[in-house]
Amino acid sequence: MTRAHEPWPDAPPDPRDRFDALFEATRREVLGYALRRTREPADAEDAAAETFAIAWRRIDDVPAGADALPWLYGVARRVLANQRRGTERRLNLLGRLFERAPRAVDGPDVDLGGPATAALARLRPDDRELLQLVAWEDLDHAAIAQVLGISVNAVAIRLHRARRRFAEAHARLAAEDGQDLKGIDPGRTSTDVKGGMPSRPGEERTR
Amino acid sequence: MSDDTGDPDPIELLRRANPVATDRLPPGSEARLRARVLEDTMAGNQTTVRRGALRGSMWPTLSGAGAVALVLAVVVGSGLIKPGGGAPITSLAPTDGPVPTASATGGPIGGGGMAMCAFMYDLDTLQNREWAFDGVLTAIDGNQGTFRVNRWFKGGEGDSVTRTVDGMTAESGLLGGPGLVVDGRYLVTGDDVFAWSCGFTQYWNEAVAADWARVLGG
Repeated sequence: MTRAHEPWPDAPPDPRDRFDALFEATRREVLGYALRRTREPADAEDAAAETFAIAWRRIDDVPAGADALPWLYGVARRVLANQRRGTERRLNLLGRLFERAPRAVDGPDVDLGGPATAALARLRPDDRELLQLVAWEDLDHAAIAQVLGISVNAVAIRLHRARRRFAEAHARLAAEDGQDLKGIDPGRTSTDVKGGMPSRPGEERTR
Repeated sequence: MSDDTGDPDPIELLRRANPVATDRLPPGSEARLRARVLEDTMAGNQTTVRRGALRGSMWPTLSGAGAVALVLAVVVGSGLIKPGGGAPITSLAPTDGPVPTASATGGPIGGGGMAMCAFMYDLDTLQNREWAFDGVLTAIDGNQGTFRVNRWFKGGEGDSVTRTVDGMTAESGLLGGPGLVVDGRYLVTGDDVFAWSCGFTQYWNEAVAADWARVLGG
């Protein structure tokens, strides 16, 4: 199920051509990244457009090849964070006009349609983003490290913990819903996860 | 995915919950993004252009960078610099049909900002556009241009069509390029509802029209 990201073709020397090639190679991935983290397509389009506007202004800083997409994801992540903060500020200013409290700044911004996304929404933002980058953007540890600006080792450790927290949240949700629990194993690594943490021996059998 | 215990994998659970697969983006989003990026980079703006700011006018205020773009546009318009990228734009002067006054200068519509265009016109990039036609502009209403279509090369049908022509009207042509003129005959192409400038929309020319027909069919 691993998706192969189309690499950015060899960087043309002309900045405009380079941007053109970058946009053509990554537009769908960047737009998808934003869409998966916003409620409204218009917000996602805003964020993706701003991401590419930044890339255009900083075209000489954009890494070539397969590193370009994680770089863009990193920019998009910051753009979306700024977008949420701006929304939060506006909602706070107009708070009295709203019947319900404004959404938390770092709260989930995706529609919560099922137990998996509901469990995801209960996680801390850092855990949530890590799991999303693995499951939705299909990135390996090195690429995630580039997006988040942390070491590969830190990615592995944090991902291991995030998987465990997700599994716990999922189990709690299922219990709250009175569903027939079907446990999930936080330590088991999907064969589709590139560079995932190894399972602990025996863990699957002890549950 | 699950192992022999039947326990689902967390990552696999999340994969199944992916709200928007990259190969199933909402209709129109990609085209709108392309148009936004084109406009942002065409104008050479150095500040964020948010959707709210675009309502009413799709063009940002002419900033310092825009002024630079204007200077570059004049240089490009004068023919001192060949716009980089693909094949040079040649033979743009109209040879048939109603002749708009502005056509005397030649050049693509809204082409004043070509020096800052992110996507330069050539026959390869032309093939990536969703639609293309040969038509005569019959009306302009704000940023909407209505054309009587002589011929569809690609992606459309009917004798008349209205498209968003931001940056190509006299009011919005901030960067100095010639604007669309009613009764002018043009070769027009774009994505979604947006006609593209930067050479993708240009005065009709027999040789260029033949090139379009060759690469696009129709």
